[in-house]
Amino acid sequence: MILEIKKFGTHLISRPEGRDAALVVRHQFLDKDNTQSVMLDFEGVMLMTPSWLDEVVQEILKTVEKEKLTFTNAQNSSVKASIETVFAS
Amino acid sequence: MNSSEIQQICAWYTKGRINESVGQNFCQTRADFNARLVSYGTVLAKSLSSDYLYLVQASIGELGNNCFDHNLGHWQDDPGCLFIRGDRFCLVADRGRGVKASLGAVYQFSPGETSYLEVAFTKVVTGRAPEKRGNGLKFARKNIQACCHFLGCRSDHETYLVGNSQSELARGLLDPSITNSGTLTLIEW
Repeated sequence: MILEIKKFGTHLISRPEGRDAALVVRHQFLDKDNTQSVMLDFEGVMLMTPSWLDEVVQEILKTVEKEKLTFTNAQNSSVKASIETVFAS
Repeated sequence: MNSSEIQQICAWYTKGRINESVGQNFCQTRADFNARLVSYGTVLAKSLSSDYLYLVQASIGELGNNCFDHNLGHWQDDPGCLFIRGDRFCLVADRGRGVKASLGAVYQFSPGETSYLEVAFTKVVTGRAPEKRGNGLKFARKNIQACCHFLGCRSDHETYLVGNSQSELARGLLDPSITNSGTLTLIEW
């Protein structure tokens, strides 16, 4: 499954917003399709923090193996740094 | 920023006195802070390349996130954070419970450690147990170190510095006599 992150917004800053997004990801995407692998597509995302991303990633990793979570279009420097931060911890 | 405005910020930080200069830069809610952060991008773009711009903007976002994430139920008076958006500096400050109280509740110093602020900026420790998080300030320090010449933070009696600044703003705000249990962070580039 490909999740287009820009559909959650282009400026993704706070942890509560990330938590809201995680609930949508869980109930409207992952559970619905019994998804086993996820690609996060960051095309169009202008600003991201690790707090926002962490909430979404932690929710996905409850049912998807870490190796089956991938990323694309992560050129924006804040997106790239947020991915590095979340996966380094 | 002139010395009178710096004094007004110090008066708010130490005593909670909100005047016009402080009031117009005060974000009562997270949504207010986020909106100002997004619009700040156009100012940052004048002095930072696009790669640095997004890293600095995201780092400021994490500083603001901390104000609201860690102080719920612990505000000294008016909830919110001061967010001053300069051309070459940014200030984020709150009158919450501060790093020592937040981190001290869940973290014990290892031998040789003496500063909660240093731990907060260099170690992955969450101040909001039982959550296993705490990346925000490390993320901010790493990126600000790469993109800016100075980061200074005060909380309680502690100061944490990355780089150097001789600006009137840094000297005024980070003076050891400016003490409160909240948190005040200044970035300059």
